[in-house]
Amino acid sequence: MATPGGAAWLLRHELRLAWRGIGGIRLWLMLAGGGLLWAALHLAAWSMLRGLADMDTDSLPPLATAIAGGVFWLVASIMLSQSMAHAVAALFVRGDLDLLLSSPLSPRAVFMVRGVGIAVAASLLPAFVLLPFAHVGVAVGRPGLLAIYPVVASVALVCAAAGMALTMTLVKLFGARRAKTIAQIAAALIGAGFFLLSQLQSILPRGMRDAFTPWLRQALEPGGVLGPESAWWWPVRAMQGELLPLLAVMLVAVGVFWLVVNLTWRRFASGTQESVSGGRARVRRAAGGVVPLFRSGLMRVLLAKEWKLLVRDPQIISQTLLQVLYLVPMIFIGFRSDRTAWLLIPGFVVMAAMLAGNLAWLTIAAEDAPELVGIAPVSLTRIRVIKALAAVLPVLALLLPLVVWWSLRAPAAAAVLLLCSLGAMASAATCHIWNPRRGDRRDMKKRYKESGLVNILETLGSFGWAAIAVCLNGYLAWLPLAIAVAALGPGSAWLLGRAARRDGALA
Amino acid sequence: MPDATLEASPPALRISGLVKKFVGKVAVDRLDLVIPAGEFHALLGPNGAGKTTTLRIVAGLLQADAGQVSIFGHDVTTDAVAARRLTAFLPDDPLLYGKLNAWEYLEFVAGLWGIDAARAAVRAAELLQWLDLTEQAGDYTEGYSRGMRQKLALAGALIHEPKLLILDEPLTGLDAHAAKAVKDMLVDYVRRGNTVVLTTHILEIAERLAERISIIQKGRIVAQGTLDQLRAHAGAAVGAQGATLEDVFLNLTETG
Repeated sequence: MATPGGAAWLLRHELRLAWRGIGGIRLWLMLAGGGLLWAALHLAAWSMLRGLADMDTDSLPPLATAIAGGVFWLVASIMLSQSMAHAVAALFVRGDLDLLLSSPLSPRAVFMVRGVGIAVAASLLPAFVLLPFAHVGVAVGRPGLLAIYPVVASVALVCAAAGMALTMTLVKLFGARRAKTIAQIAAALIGAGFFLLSQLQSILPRGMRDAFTPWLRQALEPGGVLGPESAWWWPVRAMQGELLPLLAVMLVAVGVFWLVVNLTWRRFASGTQESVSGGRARVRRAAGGVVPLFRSGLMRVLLAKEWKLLVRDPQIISQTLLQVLYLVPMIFIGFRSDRTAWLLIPGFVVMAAMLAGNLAWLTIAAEDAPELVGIAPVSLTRIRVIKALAAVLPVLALLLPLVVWWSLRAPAAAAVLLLCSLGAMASAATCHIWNPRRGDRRDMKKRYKESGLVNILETLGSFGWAAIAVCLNGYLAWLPLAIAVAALGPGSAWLLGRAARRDGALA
Repeated sequence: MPDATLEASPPALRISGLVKKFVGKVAVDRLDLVIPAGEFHALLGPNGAGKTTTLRIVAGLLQADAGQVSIFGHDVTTDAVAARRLTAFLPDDPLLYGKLNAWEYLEFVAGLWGIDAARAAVRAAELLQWLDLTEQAGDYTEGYSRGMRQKLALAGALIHEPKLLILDEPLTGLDAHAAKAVKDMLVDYVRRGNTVVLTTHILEIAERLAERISIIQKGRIVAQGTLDQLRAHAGAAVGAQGATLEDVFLNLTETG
């Protein structure tokens, strides 16, 4: 096997940890579910490729190449965004880094293995979706599609390298602490960027839209900037097994990865240390030792504390920002006409509830000092209600301008949007008040494991309110049913949360 | 409030017949304890004796299975708000908010206890000065050392001027300077007429600071008294004169 202390040996160690991290019955469930889904994807791939087989050409038609290429760049941008997020974690999440870096292992090997780990993580989803085409390709006489394997790996390597390089550059420019914030926000922006770009059509004002479409058409013609032979589409051609593009993609990937590892591993080693020892935290000192002005009153103090903690957490900001950014095109589409506005209301209602629910989870379940709050001479329910308010108010502040703007065009739709969003947000927050669970704000992703039930109830309630919005637009007969579904969420939370409410979920 | 009517001034803490079980295991077993106001009291016991569980029930963080706890005559379950208003509890590893600075943390704690803002600000400045934290008071607490965090948590406990201060292993992990600052603060605090109850497994702390000591073993109090009383108690058992607290402790907890 691999020599102890080498990169391969370390890689095996990391893989074993990752494997055990998923562990147990969940792993088998995931494998079973994933296997079924994968089989379905193979079937889908088979039907698509058979459709193409009738066309009797080796490569895709130009327009299909452009579409596939567009999808490719969208996926790559998401992979890059993921890689940056993982690079931030690799750099700043402590774990076993102290142990590894103090061992005789070369820091370069540690960095490289982290890099491969990031690439593997980034490639999981694209591999899952694309590999069925490779397998089916062999069966229907297109063995060239097997090139999907090396291309996915190559793109993942490039994304991992780019993500690490960007993060390291930020560390160099801004210091470890601020780099973390900036990198997380940048990851969110990159993730949303390509999506927004693809939605340009709907965002641009009419005049610009009219100019843009012919430009795009011309660019896609042979000989244009985005013509079929341009380098933009090489990864797609590589995936179909064209030799030259394939070689180029692989060469670039390995080269870029090697270069980044060799250029930045020193930065990585020192960056991790800096992130531990504080790297000279930004100091916000009250000038000249003057006592800052204190607020009084439970409501004001509690709201101020919750909002400070939300605003100062870059992960929350970047994730929330991402959700909001994805909504921007919808806002413009909704403004076009009364009818589209009505169509979009349920989506906005669900999104508002989701945002408010996430924030309520952060303020209520992820309280950092539950003991302190638990021993305060104030009822826990009162504290939870104020915390829920701290979650709902920011979302409302985001929503209100939209409601006002829409009301110029479609006042009834705007009113229903406001009403149902308020209802859905209140319902989501109430689920957390009535069924409080403990959580850890450092790991927002775990939220769905720890408070799975609350999450389901929250979703149920928000779907109910979305349904109410639909019913109010001419399906009044169904309204009672929608109201019942909306009430089911918080109602069940109240029934199921008795013990949690009493214990204060502190023990 | 039966206690208040029976006595002129109820004890700072009265625990009677306290029982707490965790899935079959008895953590606190019919524990009785009375601590008069103005006393510095130490709960001494080996790991797992039930010290922390007892204090968490007193602080209202855990529900007892049986028994009563009252603080200055206020029952901690039926009259919780009044009891909590008079109490501060400092857990062994106090959790702060990483993204708040010391001023903001103290402002928040004062707000929870409904302290007037102007008064809280003055008191916060005093406490930070006293505990030698003023210099770093503007930094986020995530960058604090363990000792600094412990000191800030103590400042948070004292900002609402509780009459009863409960501390769980307050000096673990502190360097000599920080430990001294905390000890001085506690002694001074008792001198001004307040009550302090702390748990420790470090004998020296109990010996130096506490006026009275209770030794807990398997969820019950096996001995109680001043250091001299305990020495006499154990001297009889060990059969030796001038026994140290360590002898007393080892003797009582081994055979108990």
